[in-house]
Amino acid sequence: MGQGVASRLYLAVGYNSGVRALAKFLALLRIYIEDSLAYRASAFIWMLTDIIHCLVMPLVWLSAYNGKASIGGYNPGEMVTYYVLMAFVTNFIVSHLMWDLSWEIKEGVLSQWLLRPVPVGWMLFARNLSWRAMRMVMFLPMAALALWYYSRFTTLSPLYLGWEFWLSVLLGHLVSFWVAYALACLAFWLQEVQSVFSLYYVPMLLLSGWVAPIALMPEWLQTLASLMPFRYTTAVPTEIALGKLTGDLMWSQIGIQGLWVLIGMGLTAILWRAGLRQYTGVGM
Amino acid sequence: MRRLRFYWNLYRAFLRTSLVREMEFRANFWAKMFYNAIWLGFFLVTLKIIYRHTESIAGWTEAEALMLAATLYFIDALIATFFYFGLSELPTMVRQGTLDFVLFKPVDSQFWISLRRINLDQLGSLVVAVLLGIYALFRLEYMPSLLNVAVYLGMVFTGVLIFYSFHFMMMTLSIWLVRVENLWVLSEVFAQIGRFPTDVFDAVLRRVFTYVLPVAFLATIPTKALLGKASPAFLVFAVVWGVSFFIAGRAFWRFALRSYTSASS
Repeated sequence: MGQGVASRLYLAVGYNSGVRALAKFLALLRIYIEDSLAYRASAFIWMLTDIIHCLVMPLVWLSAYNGKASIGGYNPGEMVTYYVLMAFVTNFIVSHLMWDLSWEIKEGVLSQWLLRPVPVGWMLFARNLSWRAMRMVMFLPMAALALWYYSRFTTLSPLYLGWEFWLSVLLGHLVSFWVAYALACLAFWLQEVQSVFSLYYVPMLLLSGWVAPIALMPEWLQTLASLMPFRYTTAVPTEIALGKLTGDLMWSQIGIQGLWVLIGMGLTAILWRAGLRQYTGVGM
Repeated sequence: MRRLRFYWNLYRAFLRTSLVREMEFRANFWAKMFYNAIWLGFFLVTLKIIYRHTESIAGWTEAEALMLAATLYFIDALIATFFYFGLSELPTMVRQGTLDFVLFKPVDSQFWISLRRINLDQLGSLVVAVLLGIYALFRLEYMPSLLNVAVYLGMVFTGVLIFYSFHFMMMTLSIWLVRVENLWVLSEVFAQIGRFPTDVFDAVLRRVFTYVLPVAFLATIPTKALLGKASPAFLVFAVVWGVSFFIAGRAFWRFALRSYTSASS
């Protein structure tokens, strides 16, 4: 009987701290959404690169068919839809947080954060999530416009936007977040991280399916893509929506996404702890 | 004439200080060249992925597309060497109010802002772009005539003028958009459109990118002229475009300065 009370008490405390944690997280999210809104002009300019990408690349491909019915299993309509959808999910998924975070580590801004009653990881997650969510909402009309533009000269591919797709998008968001987070930890050790970061974009843009559907790449690049985390950020949800990934294959890919989330979390935890041990808070 | 000599001496001083800066970070030279080569390689892989599946894009063979890429990278490298880094500092100068010091000087402010920083570590990319162009011509087994080469070089020059003026105008926006830190992305977008032949666009967009936002004059039309696929008369158009863009950029800068209120006051 005594044990029952204790366990109920424990549950209640657990519940309460859970609620409190959630409240803290929501408060953080509100702050960062307001913060993101203040930078909507910058967001719009960044988005232009996405818009141009999903204008130029489909048109390049459409001029490459030369009467062929399909290229690498993609018919013209699917190709066009692929790029628009890829740009859409990229806006929500692909995190670039290492640029800011590495600066904050170097300049000692991190020191203030460590004193706050909220884990740094949560703050970063809330900041990243609110920026990405805003970018996605802003991109929505652009995606609609692009699809309308293309629908005039090709039949678009039907889209599957069921819950499996959204699950995959969410997992992709987490993979990208943890990978970028782990990458930012390099700032604890390296003097010059900028050039490492810009090199990171080469495999990232190529193997995430941003440049072209991975199915169109040479065999060795496809193999490389399956071994790196990038495919499991944006390519998997996009392929699910286009119906290229279904059934068991889809679930195994979603499973690998989950695996990369765990790997990313573990790697970040190790790097972050090791980094903090030698962090001196230069800016203080 | 004395005015011209004054500016020439000033430019030599810019060159000297840039060189001194460069010498301090000599390792950077090779690193930059390496990064630029990687990014060029990235684009070449993109092209390769497309040409695995097709013989031609809107009538352009792979070798022709390589020549176009080489042209764009050459123009890009020229901009990066002579103008880019000076202009990139403009938003910070506006934000911190240090633009005042430039405006007080008895020197043309556009000259000062555009030319002060010469980034010699970008010269490596120029070499890489030239090598790529030569490789493309070898693959085409094509020897351009002297006239074609002359027209091409003229168009590359006007391409630089157009791209520079566009970049200058975009950075000038910082006078109003003080808080926007990524205005440079707008020029990236401009180049991003020009990386592929503008022939891939439909009739409307093709006209837009020829007559309104003359991306076609960066690489597509010069490359066509070199390959003998465009009339040399296009050079006249190119010059008109280059000069009007330059004048527009200058007028826009003057206009923007009227709204400049300085950060500190």
